[in-house]
Amino acid sequence: MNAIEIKTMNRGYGGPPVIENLSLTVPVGHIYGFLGRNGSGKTTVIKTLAGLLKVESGSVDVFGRDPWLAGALEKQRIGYLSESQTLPPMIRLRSIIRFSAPLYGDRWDTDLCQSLLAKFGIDPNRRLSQLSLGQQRLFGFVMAVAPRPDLLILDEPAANLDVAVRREFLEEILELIRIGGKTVFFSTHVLTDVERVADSVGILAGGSLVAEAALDDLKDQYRRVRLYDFAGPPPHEIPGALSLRTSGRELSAVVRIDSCQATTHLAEQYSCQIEESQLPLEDLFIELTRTKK
Amino acid sequence: MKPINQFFHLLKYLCTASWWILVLPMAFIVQPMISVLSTSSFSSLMLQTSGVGMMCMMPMLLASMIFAPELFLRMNFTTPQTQQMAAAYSMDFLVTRPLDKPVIFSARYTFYWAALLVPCLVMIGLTFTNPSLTVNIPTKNSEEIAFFSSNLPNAEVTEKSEHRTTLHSPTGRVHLAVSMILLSAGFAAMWPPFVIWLSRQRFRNWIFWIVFLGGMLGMQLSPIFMRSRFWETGLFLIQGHVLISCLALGFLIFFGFHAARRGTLGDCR
Repeated sequence: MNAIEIKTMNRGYGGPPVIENLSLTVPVGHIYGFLGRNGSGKTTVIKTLAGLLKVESGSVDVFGRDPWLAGALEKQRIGYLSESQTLPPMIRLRSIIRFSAPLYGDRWDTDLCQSLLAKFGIDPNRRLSQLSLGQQRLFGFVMAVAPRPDLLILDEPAANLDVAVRREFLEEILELIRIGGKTVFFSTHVLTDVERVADSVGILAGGSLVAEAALDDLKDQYRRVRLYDFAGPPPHEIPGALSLRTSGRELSAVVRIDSCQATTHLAEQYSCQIEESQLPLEDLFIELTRTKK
Repeated sequence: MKPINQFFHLLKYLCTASWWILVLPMAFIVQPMISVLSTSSFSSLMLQTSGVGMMCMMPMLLASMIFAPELFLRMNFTTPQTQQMAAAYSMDFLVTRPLDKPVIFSARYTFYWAALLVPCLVMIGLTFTNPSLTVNIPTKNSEEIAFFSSNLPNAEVTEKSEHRTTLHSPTGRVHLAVSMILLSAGFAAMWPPFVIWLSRQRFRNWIFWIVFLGGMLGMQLSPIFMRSRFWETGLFLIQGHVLISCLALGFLIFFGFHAARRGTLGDCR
């Protein structure tokens, strides 16, 4: 069963479309890293999943239901942390908890809430505005996690967090998933976080998905090839290359794995040396998003 | 949680989320209250009706804070209080809680009307402590006097001199307060859908302040510009009780339904 299923989603804000024909699925129990450059449309997709935006065409289902039409019971299954701070800043944290907890009924885990607040050093008697930006983020996370949601949607959760807290925070996500049957969908610019926790990755560029696969599979799908020791000038084109750079008698390109054969032929044809290596996620991300900026 | 429990839980939260927002209805009623309650004898109704502008336009500010709080975050003078209101009443916060959407809309609408009507009811209550109204009309034209007599409930001519006629209405002050509140309610019913529509417009901040300040000034100054008719304007409030009541009720039902169906700001950016 899929926790999230998006089919040919389109969405704009009156101008050119922000999301175009986006389709993706997230199976139950997965941690899905949603990547994209600034302005690629990540937050629009996340807000749609949280029930804040309506799709213009296509469909979005969370646990088989359009989140725009979701009622209280369906929303109890979803924890959401917004990219920007949306909790009231002047109310004491305990008042926000007092308002939120009864809405979740039995799902709300008071012990988890208290232990996380203690772990992150957040005093519930303070107001949100009295916390640092990082602590505000953590409090938002606690509010999203305390009802033990079946689906946790996190938009840039690591923003404003220092390295140590970010690690604790990721551990909490993993801890949540260990319970079983839980799904996490999160967007981030910190690719090391994705490599650490995500099962699968979707990369958004220009409003559409340019890559979606299990993290290891995605890395296996592309190779960086270096062709060097050309007798003459290197060619300016390689079939299926995402990017190509030449320097003197050397050529460097990123190609899909199914184009590697062509690259080997090219090396034989030009009698040059060839070197293949796997790309780190960060490089792959840059290559994939550069082509559809 | 059952919808009815959600409703009261949310309503309680809305009432306590920002004390700042409760200052507004009190502020909007102070001037009309003083003008209606201050003395028992008036040389004209201009003073009494001067609070109408305030009563009609201040609900616009309240509506924008409850139904379109994000409007204020985009303005330059954002303060912690406005941030608090924007976050506390924003759809980003409310829609992502496990609440049914109709509950959110109806609780917001109820809160809006409660915040407006409580001070209005206090004002009407206070007029009962001294309900009579004495008005000095600067004319002895019998047609004009008949016009005013017929429009001021149970009015009697108590004094006639060369330059003026004095009318006394035993419940005139209550009627005046009710009329002003009904007129205000008519406007108040219109503001929620207006600010929701406005929040989706490109030049929303400009339109907001032009309508708000223009409306306030226009309604305050209109008696001066309508010199020969300001009496009639004032008396129309009393004369049009049924009409105004029907209009206010019509607006309330129509726009309440509209706000409940389409009153979501989550869909606008």
